[in-house]
Amino acid sequence: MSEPNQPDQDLRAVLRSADPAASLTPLEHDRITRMVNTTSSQPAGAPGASRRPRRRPVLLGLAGAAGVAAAAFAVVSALTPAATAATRIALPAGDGGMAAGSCLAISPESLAPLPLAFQGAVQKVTGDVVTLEVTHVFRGEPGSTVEIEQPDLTAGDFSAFDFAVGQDYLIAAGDLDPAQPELEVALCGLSGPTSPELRAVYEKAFG
Amino acid sequence: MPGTEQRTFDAFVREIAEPVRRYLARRTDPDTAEEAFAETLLVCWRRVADLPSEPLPWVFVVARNCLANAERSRRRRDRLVHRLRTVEPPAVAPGPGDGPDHAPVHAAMAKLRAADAEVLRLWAWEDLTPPQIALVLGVSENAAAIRLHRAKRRLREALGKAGPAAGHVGSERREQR
Repeated sequence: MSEPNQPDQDLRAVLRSADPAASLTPLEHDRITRMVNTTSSQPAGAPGASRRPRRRPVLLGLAGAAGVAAAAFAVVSALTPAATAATRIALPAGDGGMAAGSCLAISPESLAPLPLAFQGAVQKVTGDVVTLEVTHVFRGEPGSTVEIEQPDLTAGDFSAFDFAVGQDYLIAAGDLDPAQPELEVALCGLSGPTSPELRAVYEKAFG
Repeated sequence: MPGTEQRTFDAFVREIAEPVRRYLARRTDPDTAEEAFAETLLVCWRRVADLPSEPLPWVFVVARNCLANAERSRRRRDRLVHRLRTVEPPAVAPGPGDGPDHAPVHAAMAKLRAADAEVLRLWAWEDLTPPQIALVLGVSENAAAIRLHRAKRRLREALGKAGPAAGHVGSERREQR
């Protein structure tokens, strides 16, 4: 973890020698001026941006448990997404490490650190596997399709949402264990059916 | 005060334009990069009142999200274009850094998991420190440092198998164990 050291410098030099952007021509001053003018001709804080009103945060878990776990997560194993392959996510049965009462109020700050967030519509439910078509990516690379292994909702308190075909969902996932590559889906209402309120929180967090 | 906001935005764009354009150029084709760059500027303009004082890690996150959405749009278009390409494939000009001298490096990077390759790009090409990488990836500093350490080791191993062109880097593997 110490850096810089000579092996690291050598490795970085090798990588830099293959930098695809090494010969990218910088934009001319006037070109930047035109881009700034074009962009700023649109209203700042337009709909869909951070100034969208956000009130009445969706709260599926119990609030007021400050000092307890900030959010509950269920273990997820996400395979490497490819252009045509579905990202596979599995939610185990059980409470996923979550105890009712450990949820805080939903906020952009809770979502902001998470590396994967997307909106998707449920295409089908086959057995306990839910297939979502990704319709919007807030963060990360979920690929075009995500599969979620639906938990047994009777086996634990899973933030109280079920998947229904045709329904739209907002899903966020994080990496809580640095020693493992797997992601974990954020629960406690941080993921759930799309609503204007939850969407606004996502836009604030990832916009 | 639109005048003040525009001046703020102008200064911001001049600071981040080239790092963001390079970030995008390293990860996609020129057309998609241009589209994602324009969208990145728009997102930043919409948040002109909230722009951070240290913009680079933050704006890379914005650019990454814009790139993901631009590539989704492109893939939809490509489904149609692909049929045309089977008739007359376009000539593809090699991009900078794509020359044969760099083939072993690109081949080694291609063997890595996407997450490993990305942390190495952020480190070597975007020149970010582990704490900045943590901000971009949305993970803890400790997690970013561990990922980077492992990714370096895996790249050294991949380069070591790639042939003599990169062998001097592969010789450092012993230290990583």
